[in-house]
Amino acid sequence: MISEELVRQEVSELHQFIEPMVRMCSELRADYPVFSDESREFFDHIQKLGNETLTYLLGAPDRILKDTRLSSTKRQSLLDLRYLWENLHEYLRPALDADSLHLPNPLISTLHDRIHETDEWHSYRFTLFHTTEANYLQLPMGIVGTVANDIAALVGGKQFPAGLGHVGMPYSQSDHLFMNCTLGHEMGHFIYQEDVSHDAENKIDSALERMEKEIGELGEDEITFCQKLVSSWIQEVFCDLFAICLIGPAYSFAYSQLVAASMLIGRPRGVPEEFFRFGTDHPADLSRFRNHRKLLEKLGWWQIIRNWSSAPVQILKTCTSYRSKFALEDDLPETVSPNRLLQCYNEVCNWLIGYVPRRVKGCRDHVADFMVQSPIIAQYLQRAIVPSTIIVRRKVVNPSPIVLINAGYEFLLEKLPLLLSNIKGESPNSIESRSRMGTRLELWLLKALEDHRLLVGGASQNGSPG
Amino acid sequence: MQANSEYLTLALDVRKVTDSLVHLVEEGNPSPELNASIQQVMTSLQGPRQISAKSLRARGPFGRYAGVKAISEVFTQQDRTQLIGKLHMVIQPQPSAQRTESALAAIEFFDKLERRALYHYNRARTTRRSVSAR
Repeated sequence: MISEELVRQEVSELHQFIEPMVRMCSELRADYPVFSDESREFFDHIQKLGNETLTYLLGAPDRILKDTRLSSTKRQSLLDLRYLWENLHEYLRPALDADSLHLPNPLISTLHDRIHETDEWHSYRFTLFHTTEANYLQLPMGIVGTVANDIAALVGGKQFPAGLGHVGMPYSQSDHLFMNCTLGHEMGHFIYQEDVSHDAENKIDSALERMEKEIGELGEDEITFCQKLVSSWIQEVFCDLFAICLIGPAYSFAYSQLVAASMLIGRPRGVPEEFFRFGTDHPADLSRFRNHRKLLEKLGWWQIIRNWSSAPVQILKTCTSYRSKFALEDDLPETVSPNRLLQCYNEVCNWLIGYVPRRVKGCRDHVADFMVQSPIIAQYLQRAIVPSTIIVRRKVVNPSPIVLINAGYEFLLEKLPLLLSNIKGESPNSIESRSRMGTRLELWLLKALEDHRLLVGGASQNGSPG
Repeated sequence: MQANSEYLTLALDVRKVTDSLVHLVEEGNPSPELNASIQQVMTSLQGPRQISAKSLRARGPFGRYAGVKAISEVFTQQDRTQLIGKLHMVIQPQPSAQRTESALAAIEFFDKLERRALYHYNRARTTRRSVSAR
């Protein structure tokens, strides 16, 4: 027999845990700090959900004690509720820290605009949160809506606003443009879960079934383990390809810098084997680069960038030629060889190379403009001029955000010394100079993105000369 | 949510089945979703065997890796047979008292499965924290 006092104590503890989170949302000032509409929508919902949970908890002791045969299981459901709120707890403070003064807003608007070009994703929008995790790859995927809806199901609350995703970024990186190009990948996780997973899972299952036909049938635990591994890898590859379709090769360059892939260059005694390892959640980096390159070739970007001399392009160029073998961190079932499982993965990757550009509208729209406008943008940047408006063939042009981002990245990777030589007191050999002017370059480009919205409007206007 | 969230998802899916059984005990009549969810569980309980990737996926949460693993950890073959028997009693027309008794027995099994799922979820979270604290 459970004592009434114990139940009331358990429920009160949970109430005490949740109540401050509700208060944090309800006490937000309207004037400061300034949050995006999406963030406000998120906080409003958490406040409502919190109040619904608190109301539910007020009646919980009576429900638990009503029928002693069911008391134990009903008490246990409080644990579910607690873990779910602990999960939301991880996001709330980071979301409150990410007010609009501390976000790369012009880039986020650009990503939103690009996503909204695809009709099916027109209602998708993202709220950002800051995290102490410096590595973008370690960020939680931000499936906040699922957690919130699980809570709502337990307490009889309202559903999370449809189409609202949650994306994390390192708290210190709000002034940067280039590394934040990886936000496109993070948004891809939301798109995958909302709209792509069904198609991808079908392909994964078909590939695994072909494997089973060859090697013999597998047990449930074995086949689900293979499903889990390949599904995790495929989701990552989808997000990479999605980000490239969204903003072009800039994503691949950012990823290359993020994983320090330049370490692959200049290694006569062999390349680090970590780049060939498939983890539980992530595919091997070199496999990712191979997929980046295939897609860039398909979209027409590769023909333009292939002669660049900087490390991210060199890696894309050589990623197919390394002799080392891919390896898996996880032990596979005895009958499944790593190569055979990787064959399944590669089959689905090849399908993604065709599938993703079909889903993401406008992924080839900026290639031709980039080819014409990038050298001109570089001339502006090397004179420290924000390239919001440029002259192309005697006509005034406002380069599109995608052209600006990629032209800016090209300038950073290939031509930064030109700028440093033009600035008094700066030197191409000085690390401080490079760091300082690299940051300045990002600010100019963020300004140009902002100007583009003022001058032209959303990303549907591609800034081609008339 | 992190990769380990599949265990939290499993716990919540188990809870949905449990809540349907609780509804049956309290109200005396099955909720609309009871039969479908119990059929999925019964297929998953039938024990380790060969099956296609697509049909596993069709089982929902109980056909994913976390579900298959937790079920194999928590239930012996004897438990499985016993639980399948109880679930049959729940979904087939029975006198009310027998049905309630079977539902209560099944709830105990599901509580055990839910606790295991929560244990794995928590353990993975703790591991993540200790790794990042290093």
